[in-house]
Amino acid sequence: MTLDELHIGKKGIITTVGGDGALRQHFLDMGVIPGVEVKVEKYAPMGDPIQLRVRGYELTMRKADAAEIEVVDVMNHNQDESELIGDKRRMDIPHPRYGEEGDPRHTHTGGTHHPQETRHGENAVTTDQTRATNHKNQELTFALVGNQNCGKTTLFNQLTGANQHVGNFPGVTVDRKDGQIRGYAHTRVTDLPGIYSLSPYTSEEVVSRRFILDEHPSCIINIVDATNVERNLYLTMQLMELNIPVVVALNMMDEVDSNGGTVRINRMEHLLGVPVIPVSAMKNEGVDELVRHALHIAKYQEKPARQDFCSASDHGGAVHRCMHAIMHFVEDHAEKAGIPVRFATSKLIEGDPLVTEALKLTENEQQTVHHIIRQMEEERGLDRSAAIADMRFSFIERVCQECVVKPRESKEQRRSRRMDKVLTGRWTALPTFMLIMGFIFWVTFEAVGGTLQDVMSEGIDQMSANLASLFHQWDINPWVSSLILDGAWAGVGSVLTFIPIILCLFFFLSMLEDSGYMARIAFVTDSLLRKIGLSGRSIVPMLIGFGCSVPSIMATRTLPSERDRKLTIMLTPFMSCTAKIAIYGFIARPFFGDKAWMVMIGLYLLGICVGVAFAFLAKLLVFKGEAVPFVMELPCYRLPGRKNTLQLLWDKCKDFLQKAFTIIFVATLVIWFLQHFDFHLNMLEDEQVEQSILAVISGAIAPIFTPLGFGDWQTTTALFTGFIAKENVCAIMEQVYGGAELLPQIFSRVTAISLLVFCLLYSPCVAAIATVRRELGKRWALRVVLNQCVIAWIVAWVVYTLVGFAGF
Amino acid sequence: MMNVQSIILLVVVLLFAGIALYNYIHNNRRGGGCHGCRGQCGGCNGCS
Repeated sequence: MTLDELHIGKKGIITTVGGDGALRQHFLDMGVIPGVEVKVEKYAPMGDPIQLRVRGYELTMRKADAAEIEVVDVMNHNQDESELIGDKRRMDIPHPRYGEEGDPRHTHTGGTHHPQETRHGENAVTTDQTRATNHKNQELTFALVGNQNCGKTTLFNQLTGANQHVGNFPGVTVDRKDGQIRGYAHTRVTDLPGIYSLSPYTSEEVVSRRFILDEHPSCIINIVDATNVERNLYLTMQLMELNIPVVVALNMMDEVDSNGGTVRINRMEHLLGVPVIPVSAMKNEGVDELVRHALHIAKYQEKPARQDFCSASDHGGAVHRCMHAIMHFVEDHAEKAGIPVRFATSKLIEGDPLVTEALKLTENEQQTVHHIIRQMEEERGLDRSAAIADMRFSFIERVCQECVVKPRESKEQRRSRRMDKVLTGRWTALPTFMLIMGFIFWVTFEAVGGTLQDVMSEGIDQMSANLASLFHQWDINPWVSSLILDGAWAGVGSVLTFIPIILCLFFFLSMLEDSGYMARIAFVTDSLLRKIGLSGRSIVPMLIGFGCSVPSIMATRTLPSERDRKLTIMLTPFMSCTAKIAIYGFIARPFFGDKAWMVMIGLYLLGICVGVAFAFLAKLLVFKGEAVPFVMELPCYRLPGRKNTLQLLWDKCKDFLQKAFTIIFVATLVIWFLQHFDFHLNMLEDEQVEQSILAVISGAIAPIFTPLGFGDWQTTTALFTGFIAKENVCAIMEQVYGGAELLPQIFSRVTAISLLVFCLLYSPCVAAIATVRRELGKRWALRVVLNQCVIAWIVAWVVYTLVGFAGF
Repeated sequence: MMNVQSIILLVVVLLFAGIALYNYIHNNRRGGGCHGCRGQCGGCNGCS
């Protein structure tokens, strides 16, 4: 039978993993290999994808992909997991001292000192820290490498003192980040996106692989999630094959300890041949020891003591003989290509196209390698990729049997299981998702955000009045007073009132991200998104898009296909970003009063609907074919950290204030100048404003918007300044119209709706366009701008016409 | 005619605008000035 036929709650043993290409390799790398037990936990609301439990973690995949995996049903499976753990784990051994003074690798070679030490051993008594600082010209580089969501960025923040954002879903980090280890000059640590193996599956995984292979870090700090050692060590083994110094940081050891589990560190260190340091990155425990070991092995270039994981006794040694035969055979090519021979061999056997090409084997050599692999496949009874994955996991199982006492089900896992009954339940998932999103928008725009905005607005009005009276007392020149009050203060002040709403929305987005619910949303919505040609993974960038388009576009790097990335990026501008809230509030409040929040939610929904319609069309015309497979790990729910959330809100607030007092401030001054002077630089009276530079230039373009109901130069100016930053639209409208409360005298309600729709859909701001250009190139950036402007015009025209007919 | 207070106020506003513009361009070049990426772009996403 196949995996998709297994019923909920049933367990099976995998017999074959079908399919081909990168997806199959990804499954193998995630530990889905023949012989492994898998349990079906549940199906998503529309019957697809499936949530599985494999090797102690939750994995989701589509039914079509599960149909490629054959299993045998396990009836009455009552084997206690503790039976799997042999007696050997109770044997303790002395600490191997890897990465410390007295490292066995150096005493074995006859020397008592490291090769770099002075002959008299004068440095032998100094600490690592002082030695590191003695070598002032030598920068030590460290790469933080590990599976997704294992705590790399948390550790990076502890090591460097940075405040990089961390989240609780796979793929928060999409690009490398550099920093210096606190207290250690001449060190550079690089946080890399999470990877499951060195066979990259998504574009952010390529970033990590490229960094490790091309930039040759002095040392790799491999973060291993101690609650799931089995799957995490798969990457560790590949890193060790690279022949670069590796130190293993066993993260989340506090969670393992508190749930009755343990890891025998000395034995694990002995078996792996690299230093193993238990840490808790979140609590900053063990980090100093980790730094000391990392510095030591980086400085003395202590490479892993073990790289050979294949056993001569495993299935007649088929894989072992194949590996070693090919290693000898391609040794010269690997050296020439600058690739460690063990790594080159395992990748060659797996069929990695990049390594195969880099080795530049002759036709004859390729055929010989092919024959050796065929022989191994016959003897082992598995294909090449599965055989290598099985070899690695067999070694890992031996390590785990000897070193790991698995913790009982943790508090977090129990809580996650209970919450998932509702949040991803077949009948409850989608209604709950709708309710949560509805609640978020209601609180943001009405209950909390809206109320605080009113308070802030009153405060700013009061300050305006005070400033005006002060200027009057000081007998300030009228046009200087107008520049400050009608120009800068009116524009910046109107934008500042939206801080509470924006922070509110970011707070909830941060909650979704940090709690682990974001990954569930992807799981729940996969079936829906497939209808428009996307996978559930695309929902994460889209939800981030409600905050800001820039990180949203960056987040598409987690998508494994170029087609999905492009389509998701094209859809991002339809997700209304927080900067547009200022426009909606500014225009909707004077027209709709207390019901403005409903109009704002309506705009969000309209954006989504138009986006869906666009995706349908794009799927039919441009992005033909199927969405990428949905393979995702579901993290446990966790309570979002207070510090992390406050830090995020502070950063958002700072960014917003910075924007208000920089580009928006300058834009309002420039617009004030253009509005109050003519081409001969004569200052104009209020009634002469039609002769202003601004009126003449914008007036020439304004007819484009006449069919939409707002073909005047004032609105045209505001819309154009919105290209720089969306908040400019309301700042400039406040300035040129003299206040939001005057808008109902200028526009009808129909025009206001049409204008809101145009603002919702037209081109994203410069920062977002630049990010598209960086991710997809100039042509796509231009395409996004044109697309959005044309769609905005058409939809606004349709809305204007329909609502006008309805006599609204 | 402008009095001294008006001239001082105008100079302060223009100075502030100059610093603001410089700051904005400088920050965006570092990748920290856009609305939300907070340097996630690695400092070179071209948002300047």
